[in-house]
Amino acid sequence: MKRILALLAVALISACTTAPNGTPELADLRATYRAVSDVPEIRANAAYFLHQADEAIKRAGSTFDAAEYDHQIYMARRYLGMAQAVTKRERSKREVEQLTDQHNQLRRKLRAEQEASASRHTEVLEAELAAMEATRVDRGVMVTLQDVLFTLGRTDLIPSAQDELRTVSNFLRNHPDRILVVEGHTDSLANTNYNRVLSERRANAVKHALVAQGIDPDRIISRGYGEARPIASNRTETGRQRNRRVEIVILTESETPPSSE
Amino acid sequence: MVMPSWMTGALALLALAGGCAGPQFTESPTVTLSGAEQALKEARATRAAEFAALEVQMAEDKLEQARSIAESGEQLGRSRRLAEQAEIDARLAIIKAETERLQQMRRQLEETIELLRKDLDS
Repeated sequence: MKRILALLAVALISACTTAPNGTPELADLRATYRAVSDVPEIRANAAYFLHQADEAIKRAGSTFDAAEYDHQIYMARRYLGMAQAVTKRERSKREVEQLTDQHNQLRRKLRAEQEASASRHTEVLEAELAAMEATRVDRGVMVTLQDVLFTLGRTDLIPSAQDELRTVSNFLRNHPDRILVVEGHTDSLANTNYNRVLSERRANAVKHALVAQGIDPDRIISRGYGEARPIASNRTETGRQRNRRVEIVILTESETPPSSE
Repeated sequence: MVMPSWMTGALALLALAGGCAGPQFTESPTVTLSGAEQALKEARATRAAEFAALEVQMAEDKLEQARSIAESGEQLGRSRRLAEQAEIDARLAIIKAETERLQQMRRQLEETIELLRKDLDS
């Protein structure tokens, strides 16, 4: 019995001496471990996994079980892989954070610029409207063309009316999103039907003049109201003169254009 | 999956017998299996396989093997090793997928920033 025990002890001791501490595989792994743990970024981000890799390498170096040895080698490699992967992920996270900040900054800057440009736009608009002697109405701004711009009793515009309309068409070119309504009106001297037709034709003449100056006809709605909407008394000549007019209303952006009749 | 006490005893004996063989693992296969199961669950939930298909597949295969070995009640060491590997394979897959998603985000942000710069210059 003693002999058996002694033999067993010898066997155990010899087994211990043959622990695979010096295999080339382990030497390689230790070298990789040193290389990976030498990188400060990895040390800073993945100390836990470096420690685990180190432990696994130690276990591989001291086990006698071939399967356990293979397992610890595998785990050590994986822990080193994790250390690198986690470091890369943390770096990506920081990059995304930085880019998000940059993105938000640019967005704020762009918004500020847009607001500044919108307010400049408004100033320009105000100046242009003042130049046109436009009046503000609920629907937008209104420019009134007096009947002196038309040949008496006819529907064609006199040549100087073109200049008057050029301020309107310039405005429309600068503000391509605006739509306008051209409305013709007369006094009440002739019969109602004639007046309506005359006012329609005069509104149309204005529309055509604007189209000739390069404005898209789809942006212009023209209609004639005849004598139905006087702005002054038809009993005096001055009143009648004020009633004979073409109104051009540049609708505000929010205003939906009325459907053409 | 609860280990009978005689088995714990046997394991303890084994651990003693291998006294000179360095650190031993006293963790039961049940514990390691549940760690691997948890990691794989997370890998599936985060759809890690979209970016790290190989690692997820390895983890699935190893976990399955570890389970069937554990059920047979033999080769507990082998079951434990497979479960440990399955867990770390799954964890690596999760990290890789997270990194890949972050990189995608980074590329998208870079593109948007480029567009914003152009808008600002115009």
